[in-house]
Amino acid sequence: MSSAQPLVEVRDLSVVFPTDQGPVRAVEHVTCRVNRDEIVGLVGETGSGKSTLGRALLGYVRPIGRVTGGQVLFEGQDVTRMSSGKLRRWRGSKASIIVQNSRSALNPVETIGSQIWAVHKAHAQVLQDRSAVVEQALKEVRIPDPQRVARSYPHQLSGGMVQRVLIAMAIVNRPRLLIADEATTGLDATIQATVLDLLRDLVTSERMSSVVVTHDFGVVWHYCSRVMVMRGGVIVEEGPTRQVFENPQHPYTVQLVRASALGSRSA
Amino acid sequence: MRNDPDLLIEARRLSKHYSVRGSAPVRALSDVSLTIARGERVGLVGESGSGKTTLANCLLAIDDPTGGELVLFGNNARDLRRRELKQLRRRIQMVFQDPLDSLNPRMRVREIIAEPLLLARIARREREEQVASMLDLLKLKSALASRWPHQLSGGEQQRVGLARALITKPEVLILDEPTSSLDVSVRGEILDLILELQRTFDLTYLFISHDLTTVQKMCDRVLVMYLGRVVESAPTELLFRDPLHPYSRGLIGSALIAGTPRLDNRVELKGEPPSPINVPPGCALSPRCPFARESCFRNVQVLEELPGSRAVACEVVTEAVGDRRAAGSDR
Amino acid sequence: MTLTRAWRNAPLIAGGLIVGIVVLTAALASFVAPYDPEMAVPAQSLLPPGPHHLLGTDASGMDVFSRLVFAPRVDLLIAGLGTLISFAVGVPIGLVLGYGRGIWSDVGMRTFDVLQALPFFIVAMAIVAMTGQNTINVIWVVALVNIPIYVRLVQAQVLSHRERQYVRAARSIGNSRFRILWRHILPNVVAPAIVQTSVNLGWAILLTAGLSFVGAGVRVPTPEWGIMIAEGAGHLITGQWWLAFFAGLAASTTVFGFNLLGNGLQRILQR
Repeated sequence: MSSAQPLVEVRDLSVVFPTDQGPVRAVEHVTCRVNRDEIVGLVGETGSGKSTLGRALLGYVRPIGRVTGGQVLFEGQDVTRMSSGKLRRWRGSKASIIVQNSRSALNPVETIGSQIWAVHKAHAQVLQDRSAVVEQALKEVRIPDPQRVARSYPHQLSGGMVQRVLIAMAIVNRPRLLIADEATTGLDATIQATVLDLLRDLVTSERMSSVVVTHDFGVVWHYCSRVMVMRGGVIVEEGPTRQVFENPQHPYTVQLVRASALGSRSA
Repeated sequence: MRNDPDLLIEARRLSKHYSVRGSAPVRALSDVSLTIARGERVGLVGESGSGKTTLANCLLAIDDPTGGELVLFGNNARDLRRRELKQLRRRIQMVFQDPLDSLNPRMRVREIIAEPLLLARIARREREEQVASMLDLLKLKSALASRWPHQLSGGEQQRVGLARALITKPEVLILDEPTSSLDVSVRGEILDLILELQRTFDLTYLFISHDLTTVQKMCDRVLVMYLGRVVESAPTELLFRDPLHPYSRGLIGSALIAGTPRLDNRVELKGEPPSPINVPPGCALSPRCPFARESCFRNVQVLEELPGSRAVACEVVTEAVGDRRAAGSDR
Repeated sequence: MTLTRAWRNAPLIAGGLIVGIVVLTAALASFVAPYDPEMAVPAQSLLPPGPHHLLGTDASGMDVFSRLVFAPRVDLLIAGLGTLISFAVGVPIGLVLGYGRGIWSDVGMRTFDVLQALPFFIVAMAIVAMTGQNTINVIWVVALVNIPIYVRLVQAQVLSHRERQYVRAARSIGNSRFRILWRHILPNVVAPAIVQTSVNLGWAILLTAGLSFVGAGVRVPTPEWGIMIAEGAGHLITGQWWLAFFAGLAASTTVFGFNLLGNGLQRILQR
């Protein structure tokens, strides 16, 4: 059971992005939390602010955006006010993120093994044996033939494999928090479920917390114990997943729920 | 040759291979046979590389297949002259995936919708009337008629696409992922609209999608494709409740539908779908299939009919079903 | 494409102004010029700018100012007609090559790639030398040299539009190939060609002036910037700067104006 102290506490956070048409208020006075040992879903459509909020949990706001108010307290420390040096040390070890366009997140001219190693090396207190670390990381994400993959370059791997590699890199240092920002959007259906299953297994077995940012309520229903629904930069509803799904209160949530369960098999 | 007037489209062993300089040919379609009868609402599901869009293009006679035959409204497409083919093609229309991309950015909405009539040499007065009634039918405000596509919302754009497709009162509509590019909140209304239009126009349609919930809502019968072949065909309910082909079990098993638990007899497929350039020999699924046996790697699987209006292209399944029936009949 | 956007478009306004003035000057030259531009008065040769001859006179005694304001007629005529011809010929070729498939399209594309690689000025000089030095030939040369530009520009655009869904839709509702090119693809690919035209006009003027400068363009004593610069170049050393200077200034400002205009048009047409 999760302890009372939340892992991340967001208090009245507001984030603004400058655009050609003027400043856009991506996140407006949002207060929420991520508890320990939980997988929470952050669901909304394009432009709802969910990605911005998800990234803000890691302090990814500057230099493009600006925090105009509020705090993001991660284990008590305000991430929005950390110096970039401290943030860099902290990301990858305390918290990490997996994004959607997987291939562009990897360096095309370095092998997979060296990239995984680099993440470990940047944060580890004690450096362990390189090939052991890399092989272990790849095995954890159920990649067959880890030694061959470690020697490969990103372009030699398929989309699903690349996504697994990113997961491996994200968890190699056992962060407390893992953000999955539309991590499986764009992957083929059969791969999507497998990757999400893997994610859930890892997060649960390693006692991490995870925020799954997605537009797909189906993903949320199957993987998240709690859900926050976002629209227009505001959280319109939140609660335990089953409850929100069976009994949505906010009209927008009602719309989303209805759209996602178009033809349930049981009906 | 059957001359059933209700058999609107018949594909017989269609193949479409593209040759690419310097590498192996792309086998977009291999040996696909299907029929679409009047009034049917047929679904076509598959992931990327399955050949769904290529099949749509071939059925629409936009692309010529490299092998096999296409019979449209009882006429073999090969035997037809260009003009005759054009006439027949007017009876089949298509709605495209990306609504904005499917509308000419330099044409106004009313011109886009009217164009099929213009090509059929319908007089201007008549064209205007029909456009107006189409706008009404598709619940588009008449003010939108003079706008440009980029000024419309995604849902409105797709309605224009539907209007254009329906204005010549085709008998068959092919919808290629019509709601995939739309926001989730808009999808429902477009799908409901399509169902309504199907009733109004007594349409027959082929609904192509990778989204299983959508197909479940929209179709009576579903075809599952993998790497250019049809691997299973079944009535919708049956398919989603009890898929037989290992790929179907993998695909439907991986569907994440809110409010519904995952499929009981789901299958986890190893690895990932290869590209249509590297189609494995024998059964295309064999490298990934947990039930694959030696003969699967050698034999190309063919659709076999099963009771319940079903068909499966898997020798392992067909045998198992045969065994069960034999065992049952012994009792 | 609203008017308000046009107002904020500095290149469009500046370029439009410059080009407008040049065109106006060419049109109203007879009224503006105080002297006959081809009237040689040897007694009054090489006079510096002064009250009677605003910009001075050249070696033959012809008034520089009068020649300056008549010059655009020649240059604009040659550049304008030449560019028009290359547009009218190049765009359809580009359409056809871009839309066609198969070996002949490829051959066509490569041919124009090669043609565009030729050094246009040398080619222009060579053609004029072979066919004779007169205005008509210079127009043809300008046209010829610019055709590959339009072909490649339009063809690249067509290649990308060909795969768009609206083209597939147009086919599926029964458009003939011709109609697809004419009614669907052309309106969508012509905008860059129009922008290119403005820039091309500038370059065509430069080409004309350049040819005249080396003696391969229009003949003396036609008032033309290139000729004026050629004549004036020799006199720079002896201190008579006004012969070449004003013509050079006029030519470069005009070309600059066309470039700006092209820039401005690009901003408007790029939705």
